[in-house]
Amino acid sequence: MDNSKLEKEMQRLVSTTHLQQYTIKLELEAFECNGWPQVEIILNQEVVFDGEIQNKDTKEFTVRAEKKILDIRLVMKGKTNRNVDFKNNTILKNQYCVINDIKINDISIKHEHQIFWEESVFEKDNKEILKKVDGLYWNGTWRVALQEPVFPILNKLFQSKGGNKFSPHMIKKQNLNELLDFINTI
Amino acid sequence: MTNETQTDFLLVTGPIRSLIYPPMALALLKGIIESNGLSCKTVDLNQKYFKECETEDVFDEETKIFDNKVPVKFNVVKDSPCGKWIEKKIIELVETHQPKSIGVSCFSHYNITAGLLILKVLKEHYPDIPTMVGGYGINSPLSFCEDFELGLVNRPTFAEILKENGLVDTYVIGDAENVMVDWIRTRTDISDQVFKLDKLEGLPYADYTDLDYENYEYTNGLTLPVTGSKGCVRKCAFCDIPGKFGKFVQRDGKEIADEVIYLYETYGAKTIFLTDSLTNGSMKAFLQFIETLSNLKHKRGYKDLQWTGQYIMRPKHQIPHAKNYYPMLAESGAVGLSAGVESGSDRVLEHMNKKCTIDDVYTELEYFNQHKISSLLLLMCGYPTETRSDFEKTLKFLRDIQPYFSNGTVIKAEVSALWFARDPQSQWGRIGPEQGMYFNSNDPKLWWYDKNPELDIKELIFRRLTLHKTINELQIPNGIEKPEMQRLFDYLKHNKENIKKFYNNIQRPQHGQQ
Repeated sequence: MDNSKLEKEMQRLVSTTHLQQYTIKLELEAFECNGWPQVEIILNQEVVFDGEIQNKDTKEFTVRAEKKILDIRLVMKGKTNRNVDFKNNTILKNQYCVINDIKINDISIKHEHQIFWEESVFEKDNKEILKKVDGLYWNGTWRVALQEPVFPILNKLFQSKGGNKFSPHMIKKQNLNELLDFINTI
Repeated sequence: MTNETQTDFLLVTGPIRSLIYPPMALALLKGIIESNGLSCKTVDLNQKYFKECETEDVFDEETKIFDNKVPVKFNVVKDSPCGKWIEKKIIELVETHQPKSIGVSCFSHYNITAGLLILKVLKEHYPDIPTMVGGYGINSPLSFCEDFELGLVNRPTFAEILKENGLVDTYVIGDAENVMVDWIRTRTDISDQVFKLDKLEGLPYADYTDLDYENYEYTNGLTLPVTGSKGCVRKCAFCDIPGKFGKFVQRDGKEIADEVIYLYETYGAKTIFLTDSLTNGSMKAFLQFIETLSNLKHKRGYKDLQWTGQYIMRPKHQIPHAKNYYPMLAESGAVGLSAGVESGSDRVLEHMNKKCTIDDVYTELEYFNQHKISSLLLLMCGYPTETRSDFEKTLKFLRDIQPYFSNGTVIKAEVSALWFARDPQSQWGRIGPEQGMYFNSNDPKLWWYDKNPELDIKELIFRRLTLHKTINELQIPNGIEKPEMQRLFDYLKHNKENIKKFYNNIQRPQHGQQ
């Protein structure tokens, strides 16, 4: 077996260590005002939920790892002036939905990582873009897009936070080739 | 030399030793010796040389020659920058402290080359000063004895080589705590005896005052060691601990907690490293330890006091009242618990006699996750019965625990050594070619088991490199891959011919063991 075949076989085994699917848990908390929020949840362009959210509600889905982008969107639709009670320029009651947490395979991207805050955007229906929004307060789409594979990146981010004391270190290419040569020649 | 200015005992250790905490043997023996009215000076030349080097890389590079892993001539060791420094330092120490006797501590096989150098220097310059050597490492073979070109008569262990060649007056096998004082006073030869403590209670606390204890390479602030037990309750097939330490001896859990508090209050040590082979070997003592420590921490407000050590993952049914146990473990300050998972394959775990399954490991990790207890997992590559399918299960395990790396439940995962190394005192060390285990007695990494013939040197390297690539690709935090890969490279570079010869001989089984 030449070096390229050995490397290919090695890579085949390594690629089996990437997760094939993710469990996405959305912990939502809805507040009503003349009705509960209508929310659509879209994972990797597929609508996985479309309906009303009431009070505290957790939605859990499994999504295949596509090896590209893990795209999580929550859409609020149908909110009108009827769903906000104003009096003297003060909101007395409002219809909205807070994203208390998003967990990927039980890892919180809101409390254990900053991704929720740093990578998410909210695009209102009028195309206005807002950052650091933690829920659905207007009609529009809250979105976070995570580069796949997700966990190596989260691992790296977590390590950076801790001062990167134990960062991995890849063997020098030249040394790797010599080791593979050794396997081939012995 | 006059008696008034002489130190009764000088105790030194040399490279290579991890710098994550100061050497306990030195401090403990100083505590014992001085509590008996004798004077003792302790010096960690490993740490002192580290401070001499400008960077960690320079230290690693300049001490690599001492690692007992590749053949090297003794003169090359002696004339290396670190070798010359050690020689100068030893002479300086003897001149300054004028010791009546000297001890060299060898914590592992990594510091026996330095031990040899220190003893050679002493015999050359101070042949009349009695010397002794001890520590776990002296039972190891001096892997490349002939290559030193010192004309040494070879023996199975480093201790025996030293004695046989007149480089040391005596050696201590096992626990030196109860024999040091007698030896310093009488200098009776105690080689060949095995000393074993039958209880750990009542020993004086370790004395770190000679050591530069504030300047080690701590990962969690000033860290000092404490011993809670010796030996092990398990008999894992790959492990030398039962062979070397014999019967398991456990210290009272409350006394361990008291010493932890003492080190915190006396030296400001905020992390305590329990040196036990297993901190939770005896659940009774362990529960007593974590309960006492939790209470003392709470009462005295020592919120920043934490401890770490080696921990066994137990079968689910052995977890004591999970609802109370894990909160108490967390409150006691447990961090970075180091657990030998070894393999993702139940078949391999069973053969190893680990007495737990991979499912038990997942269960315990999930409890750690829930209670914010961090851990460090150790894996083994190329256990003699590990098939490719077993190996793939270890890869699967790494795949499945990825989320735990990303929230600090697992702070590191490391592959111990390059691959399985046959220790003469393990169960694998007690079988030979007649049972299918072919081995090179000078090189613990060079073996072949005919019941699993596919696992030859090529496959071992392949699996180790695959693990290395996986660790990198999954961004698994790790502190040893860099030196380990260099070690692999150096090992193969220097041993190519030996490896070829070994495998050629195996193909002709009538030649038997090398």
